[in-house]
Amino acid sequence: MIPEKPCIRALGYAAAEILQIGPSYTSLISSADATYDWVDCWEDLYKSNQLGELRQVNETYLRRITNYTNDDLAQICPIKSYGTMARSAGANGGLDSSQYAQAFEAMWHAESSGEDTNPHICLCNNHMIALVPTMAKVGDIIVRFWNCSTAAVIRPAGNLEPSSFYTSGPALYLLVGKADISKHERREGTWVQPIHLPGDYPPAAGTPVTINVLDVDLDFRSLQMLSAPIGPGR
Amino acid sequence: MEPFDYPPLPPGKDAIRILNIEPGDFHDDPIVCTLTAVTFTSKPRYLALSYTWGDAFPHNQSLPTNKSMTSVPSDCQKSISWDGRIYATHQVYDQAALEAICKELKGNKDKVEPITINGQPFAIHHNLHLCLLHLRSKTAPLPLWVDAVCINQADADERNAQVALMSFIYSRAQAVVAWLGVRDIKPAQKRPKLFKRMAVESTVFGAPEFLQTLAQGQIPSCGDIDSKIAKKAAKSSYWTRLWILQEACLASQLVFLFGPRFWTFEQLSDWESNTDDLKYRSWPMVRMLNARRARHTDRMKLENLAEHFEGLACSELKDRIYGLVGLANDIRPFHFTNDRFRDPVEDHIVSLDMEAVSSSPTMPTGMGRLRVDYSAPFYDIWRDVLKVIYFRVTPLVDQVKYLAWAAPFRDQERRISVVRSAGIMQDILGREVAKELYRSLPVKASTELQVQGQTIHNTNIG
Repeated sequence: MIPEKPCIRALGYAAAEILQIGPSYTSLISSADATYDWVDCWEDLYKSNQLGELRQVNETYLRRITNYTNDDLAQICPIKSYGTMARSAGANGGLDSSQYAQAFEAMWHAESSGEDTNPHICLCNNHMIALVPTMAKVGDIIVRFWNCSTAAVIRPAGNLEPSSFYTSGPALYLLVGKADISKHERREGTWVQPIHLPGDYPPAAGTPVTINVLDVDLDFRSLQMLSAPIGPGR
Repeated sequence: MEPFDYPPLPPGKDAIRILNIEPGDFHDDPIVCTLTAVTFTSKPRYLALSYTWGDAFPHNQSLPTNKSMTSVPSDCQKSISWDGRIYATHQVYDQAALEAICKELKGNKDKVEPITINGQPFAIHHNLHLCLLHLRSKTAPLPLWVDAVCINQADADERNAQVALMSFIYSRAQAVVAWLGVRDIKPAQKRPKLFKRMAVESTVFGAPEFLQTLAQGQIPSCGDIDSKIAKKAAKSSYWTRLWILQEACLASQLVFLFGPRFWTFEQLSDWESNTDDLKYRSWPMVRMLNARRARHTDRMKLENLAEHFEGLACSELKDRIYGLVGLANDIRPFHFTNDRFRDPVEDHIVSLDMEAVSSSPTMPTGMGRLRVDYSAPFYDIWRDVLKVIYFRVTPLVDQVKYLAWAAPFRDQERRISVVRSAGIMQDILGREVAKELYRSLPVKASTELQVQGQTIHNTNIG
């Protein structure tokens, strides 16, 4: 029997940062006003010449999520898994276990008191819109994984020792929960799926990475919850 | 009604039962068989049958299987479908028992019909009955392995063990015989006359003699392939079933039987590659032929196979994994009573300390083992598959080629693709892994909320 403890170190990348939390899924699809407020709130956060693309993303995404079933929505939930964390790939060090436990408990204590477990829509940079668990907040990061639509919300939990490998200081993140993102990738049932890596990861020796690649430590249950497909199949 | 008395399989050894079809006349003699247990140590010679439980063509179901059959007997119209690709019962004469089983299994429309095995009645599906008639020789018994008969389907333990052994059974057969059904003709004639006609046609090409030679371990020559007939065979529903994939790909020799006609795989494969008509490209037959052509390559990885053949039909979601593990060359099935095997991956995981490992932990490489257990929850099956994919399987070759410029990061391929694999495997298991989880969790009263007038249960997983 395999113990449920983090044993998988997946690679992901920081795809976007949450800029604004919008209305809950329920109010978004039930109320016209909520939808208008949602669209209006973008203007402070995006330059006017970028709004066109964002409107397009929004239209496609709303169309998609309107058809989500209760099972789909139930998956966009916080995942409380002790030991599941992310950090800048290849970074050394981090919190020792007592510091980690403190940060982990503090995050969950502060956030899990609310009654509302309805996922909320949120606006991120890089023209990304997502549904995230209620406890997600501005400044959280959306981490993605290659060649699939799986995404998670993670929260910065401090910096690690600087290293020459990184352009900016490596960081440690705690897992908040699952996210459903507007950048949806359909998969094709071909014989072999080549992996298309965005950016230039892994980098040639001596050059700094230009995308923020993260080591994400997962146990099997967290991996299952994160990767569970949402929405209609292919 | 007494249950069928299966000859016991010798414990602790890799063994199967072999069904010997006694010689008889197509038209006059009902099917009589003997069933005996043998170990692989005794080097058994047999043909393994690859077929579908349902009829291969819509009109095949009205074909008679004996000379006195004028209409389909009412008790034979009852449906039986065991879970999995499993379908036989031996209680066909007992109307009440049959109805009870049908009710319980909410079965489909597959007919069962009685034959005689070891002097006892035994019910088989109509399609299998048609097949046995066409295989049977007039002069010599034919040794066959047929899953529905040779496995005691009511014994869950035996079934798990034999499914784990399936790839061995098919690869050790002298040949695998793929039964494509009988040419789809609307039965314009009365049934006794139709049966007579089938009996006469069965002698024209000499399929029984051909199979006898095959069972001796020799490879007889075949006649030419008729393009018109082959195109009809391509429409058989045989090609759309998931299980046939491993049966056909594992065979050292593969022959196709289409009513009284027969071809070798090589013949059909040549015919297919010389057919210019593009409309055949997307047919399931072509996909299967391609799979067999690629059977020794690195494409035969569980993840690839499961994704590529997601569209093939099977009666149970777990077959989407168990029906392919025998074929995948990066994973091996085993059965839990087979405790000679200790999983080094589990030991590795237990001893793994994520705080201590470097950013790119070294992982064991090579073959993984997957336990076959139909009673296991979907989550356990999913986790075992992921465990093998992440910890044991060597990276997909084509992907590594893509990453060749990043040779030092070769090991990272699995780390890059593990989340994608995790999602695919959940899709392939019909998303039951997640549904199972939500069903098992207690629902907090305060977390019910209204969505589109329905109550949804959203739960914090603690």
